[in-house]
Amino acid sequence: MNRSVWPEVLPLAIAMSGVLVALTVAGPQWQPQTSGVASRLRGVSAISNLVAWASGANGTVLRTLNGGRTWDVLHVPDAEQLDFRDIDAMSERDAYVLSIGPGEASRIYKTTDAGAHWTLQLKNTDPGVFLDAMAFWTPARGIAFSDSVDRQFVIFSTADGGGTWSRIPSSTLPEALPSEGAYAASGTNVAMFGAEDVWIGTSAARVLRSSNGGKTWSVHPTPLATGSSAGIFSIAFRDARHGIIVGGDYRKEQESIDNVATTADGGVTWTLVRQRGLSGFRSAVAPVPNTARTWIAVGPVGADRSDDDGRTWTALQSDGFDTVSFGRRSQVGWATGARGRIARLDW
Amino acid sequence: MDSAPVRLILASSVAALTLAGPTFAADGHAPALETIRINDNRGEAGSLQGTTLTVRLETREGEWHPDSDRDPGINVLAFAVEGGPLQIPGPLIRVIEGTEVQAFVRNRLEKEPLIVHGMYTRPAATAPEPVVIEPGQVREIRFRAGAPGTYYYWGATSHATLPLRAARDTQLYGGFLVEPRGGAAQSERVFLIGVWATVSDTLVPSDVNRMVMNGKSWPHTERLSYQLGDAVHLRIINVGGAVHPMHLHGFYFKVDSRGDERADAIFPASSSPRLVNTERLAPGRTFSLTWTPTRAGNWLFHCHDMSHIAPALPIDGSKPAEHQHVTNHALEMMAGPVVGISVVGKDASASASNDTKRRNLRLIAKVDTGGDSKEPAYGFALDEAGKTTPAAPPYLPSPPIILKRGEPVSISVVNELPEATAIHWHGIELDSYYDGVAGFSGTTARPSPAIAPGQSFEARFTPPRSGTFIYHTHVDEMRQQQAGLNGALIVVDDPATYDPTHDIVLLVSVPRKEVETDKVYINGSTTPAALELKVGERYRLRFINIHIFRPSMRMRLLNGDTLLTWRGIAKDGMDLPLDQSVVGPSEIQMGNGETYDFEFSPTAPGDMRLDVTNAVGDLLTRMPIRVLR
Repeated sequence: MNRSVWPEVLPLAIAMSGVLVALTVAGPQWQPQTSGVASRLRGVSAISNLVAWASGANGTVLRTLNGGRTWDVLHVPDAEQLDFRDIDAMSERDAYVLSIGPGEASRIYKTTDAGAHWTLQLKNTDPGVFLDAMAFWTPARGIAFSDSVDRQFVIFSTADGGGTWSRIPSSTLPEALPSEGAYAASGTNVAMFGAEDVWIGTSAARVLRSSNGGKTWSVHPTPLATGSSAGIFSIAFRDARHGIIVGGDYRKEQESIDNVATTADGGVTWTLVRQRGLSGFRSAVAPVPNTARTWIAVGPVGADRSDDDGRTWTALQSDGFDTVSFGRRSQVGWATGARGRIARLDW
Repeated sequence: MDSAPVRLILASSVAALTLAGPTFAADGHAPALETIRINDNRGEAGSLQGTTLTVRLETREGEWHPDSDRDPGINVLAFAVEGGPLQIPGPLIRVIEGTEVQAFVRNRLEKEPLIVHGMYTRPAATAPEPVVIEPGQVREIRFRAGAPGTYYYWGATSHATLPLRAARDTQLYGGFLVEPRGGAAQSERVFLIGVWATVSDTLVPSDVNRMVMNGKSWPHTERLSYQLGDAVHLRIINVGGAVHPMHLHGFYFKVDSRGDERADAIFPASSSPRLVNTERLAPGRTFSLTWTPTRAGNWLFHCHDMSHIAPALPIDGSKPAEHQHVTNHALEMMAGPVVGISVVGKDASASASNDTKRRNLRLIAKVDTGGDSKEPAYGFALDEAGKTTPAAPPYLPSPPIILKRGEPVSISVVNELPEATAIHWHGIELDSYYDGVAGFSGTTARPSPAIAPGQSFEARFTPPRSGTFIYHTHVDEMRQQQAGLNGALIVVDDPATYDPTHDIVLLVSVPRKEVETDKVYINGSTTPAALELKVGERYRLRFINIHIFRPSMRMRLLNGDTLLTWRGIAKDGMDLPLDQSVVGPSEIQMGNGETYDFEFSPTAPGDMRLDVTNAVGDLLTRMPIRVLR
C-alpha cells in the first residue's frame, strides 16, 4: 500500500520543503459505491484514482478499473471458505491476498493476470500459525506476519514475488510475549515505507521494527491499551519517521481510551494522544497522500481525521468501515467494511 | 592508433558569443602569471560576525594546470579571496540559513567587465540580473542566504550563459552552500565539475578541452579514502556546459537532493529513498548523495559519457604522443571527471571464495567481421558447458547474459582480440577486484589486471538482486565500446522462466562506423526489426543507454504522435519502492550508464513505434512495433 509522497518535480518539492501552502480542509468527500457482494470486506488496496482491489469473507476478491463505478468479482478457486483479511495490489493485474485462520486456513494467493488465475503461494501447515497481514516494499519483496508460536514471532518473507516464502529465523527476532499476535481486522498491522523499513503492530501493543528489510529486528513498547480484545489494530507511516498506531477494544467500539499514539522517530518511542483523540475504536489508519500531515482513521462505527500528524483528531461524518487505502500519490482512496460496504474518498 | 575523437556536446544552443581563443602560458612571450591553486573545498571563505558573513573576492588571470602540476598550463580567469591566491574552484561560501552575506567583489581585470551570477537569496523563481563590475571596480553585493541547499556562483566577462562562456572565463565558479539552522554538521565533500574548451564560431567545441572535478582532470583529481561503513556524503555541482551521468562502481547511492543555481529540492532523510548507481547531471544542476561502502577496495565515481573520460589532447595544442603499450589502463587511458575512492578496513563479506560452487560461464571477446584497425568490429560470444552463443559471427549485438539472483557465478573473460581489454560488470554489487577497471580495481597492492591478447580473467560474484545491468569494456572505452564490447546483463529470479518475448532488452549504443553516428543502434542495428506485441499482454521493457557520447537521449513509445502510458518498475537494476512505481507517460530521458525498466501493456491493436531521439527531438533510430490482437 502506498503511504508516501515522493516529490519528483522540483517546484513541487520546493513548495513542500519551504513554507507549506495552506491545505484545503474540505475533504474528504464520501461516495458510497456498490460492491455487489454481502461479505465483510476487511481488505482494500488502492493503486490509483481508477484502480483498486478489495477482499473479504467467503473468498471474496473485487477489483475496479473505473474508479469504483463498477466492481468485478474475481474467483479464487476453492477459496469459498476462506476469509481474505488482507489484499495488497501491486498493479491493475498483480495482487496478493491473504486468508486468516488456524492451520491450513492461513494462506497467501497471488494473481498476475487480473484474477484469471491464482497461485497458492503459501499454505500453512503449522497448527499454531495464524496469518494476520502482509505488506510489500516492491512487487517482489514483502513479508507476512503470523501470531506468535511458543513465544517466537512468526514472520515470512519473500524476495521473488512470493515464489518462495521463508520464515525469518527466530534468532534474528526478539522474544514474543505470551500469545502475542495481531488483530486481523483490517490487513494493516504491517506498515512499510521506502525500500527497507517495516513496522508491525501487535496485540500486546508493541511495535516490531526493522530498518534493513527484515534482516534484524527490535521491539518497542507503546502506550496503547491492551487486553484480550484490545491492542494495536493498525499501523501506518507517512515517511520513515512519522507513524501512527490506532486501536482500542473491538468489543467496546464506542469507547476511546488509549487508542492512538504517534511517533516521530521511526517507531522507537510512541506518544499517547490524551486530548482530542479518536472518537471510538478504530481498526485502520492511513496518511492521506499529497498532504503534509493529514491522516484518516476508520472503524466499524465511525472515522476521524487529523491534520497534525495525529496529535489531535476530529470526528468525520462517516459510516462504519474496517479498513482504508489510498492510491499511490493519489488523493483518492477507498474504505470497506461490513455487508460489502465500499465508499470512495476524494480528499 | 589515432587518439579517439572527443565529442563535447554543449547542452544548449543559445546565441553565439564572442569566443576568444585560448592563451597558453607556455608560449614564452606573455609575462609569467601566478599559478592558480586547486581548491579542495575543505576551507570556507569569509568572516562571520553575528549573522553576517563578509566575503571579499577578486578576479585575476592566472596559470592553471588541470593535468599534473608539471604538465603545460593555461591562462584563465579565476576567483581569489582578496589578496590571496587564485583558486579553482573559487572560494567556497558556506553559511547557515538566515545568514546575511556581504560580498565585496573586485574586478582586477584591465579591460573586461566582470559579470557575477549567483549571489542572491534562494530559492529564486528566476535568476536576478547579474551584477556587472567594471574593470578595476569593486561592488558590494548583499543578500540573505535563504533556503538550505547546494548552490553556486559564477562569473563571465560577457553576458554569456553558464555553458557558453569563453574558454578563458570557464573556471570562474565557486560553491555556495546553505546549511539548515541547527542541522547536524556532517563530514562531506564538495566537487564542482568544470569544462574548459575552446568553441568555434559555429559552436563546435574543440577537441582540445579539459573536464575537471575541483580543478583537476583524472588521474590528478583528489583521491578520497574512507573506512568501511563510513557514511560518505558528496555534493556534486555541474558548472560546465556538458551533461555528466555520474556513475559509482559497485554500489548504489542515495540521492539526497537535486537542484540548480536557483533552487534545491532536499529530500528528507525520512523520504522514500532514490537509490541509483548513475545520476544524470545536466549543466547548471546539482545533486548530493549518501553512500555507505560495505566492501573494501578501490572504486571509481565518474562521468559515464565515455567521450568525457577519454584522454584529451595536450592542452598546449601539441600533437599527442603516439599510442604506446599501456601498463596501467586507469592511469594512462582515462581522464576527465573521475574520482578514485579507496575503501579500507576489514571486509567481512569475502563473497568470492574458491570453495563456493559456482555456475561457470566463458565470455569470449572476439573480432567480428566488417571492421578494420581504424574502426574495429569486436563482440562477444557466451559459452556455457560447451554451448556457444552465437556460434559464429556476427557478434552484434552481444549476447545478453542471464544470471540467477543469489547464485554464485564465475565468468571467465577470454580475450581473443589483438589488444588488451577488461570487463566491468556495471551495476553489480561485487568485490572490487572483479570490478574490471584494469590497474585500479582491487587494491593498490593487488590491482585488477588488464587481459592481454590470448589471456583470460575469471570474474566471480553473486548478484544480490534481480534487475537490468550492463557488461562493457573499461579499457580504451571510446574505441572498444564503439567496436561492440558491451551487452546486457540481466539478473532474474529464475532464468528457466526468462521469456525474451515478454522481457525485452532495448540496448542503445553507438554504431561501429563513424559515418553512421548520426543514428544509434538499438540492439545492434540502426534499422531494428519490428517488435511484435499482443494486446493485453504485458511486457517488461529494459532500456539501457550504453552509448559512448549521447547523455541525453529520449526514448518514447508512440502511437502516432501520442505517448502511451507505462509503469516505472526499476532504475539501474534497483526495483522502485511501490510509492515510486507509478504509471506515467511512455517517455524517458537517459544518461549513459543508466538503465530503466518499465512495464507496458498495449491496449489496442495497430502500429506503434519506439523512437530514440536526441535531447531536442531529432530522430536517431526508430523501432517499429506491431500490436496484434
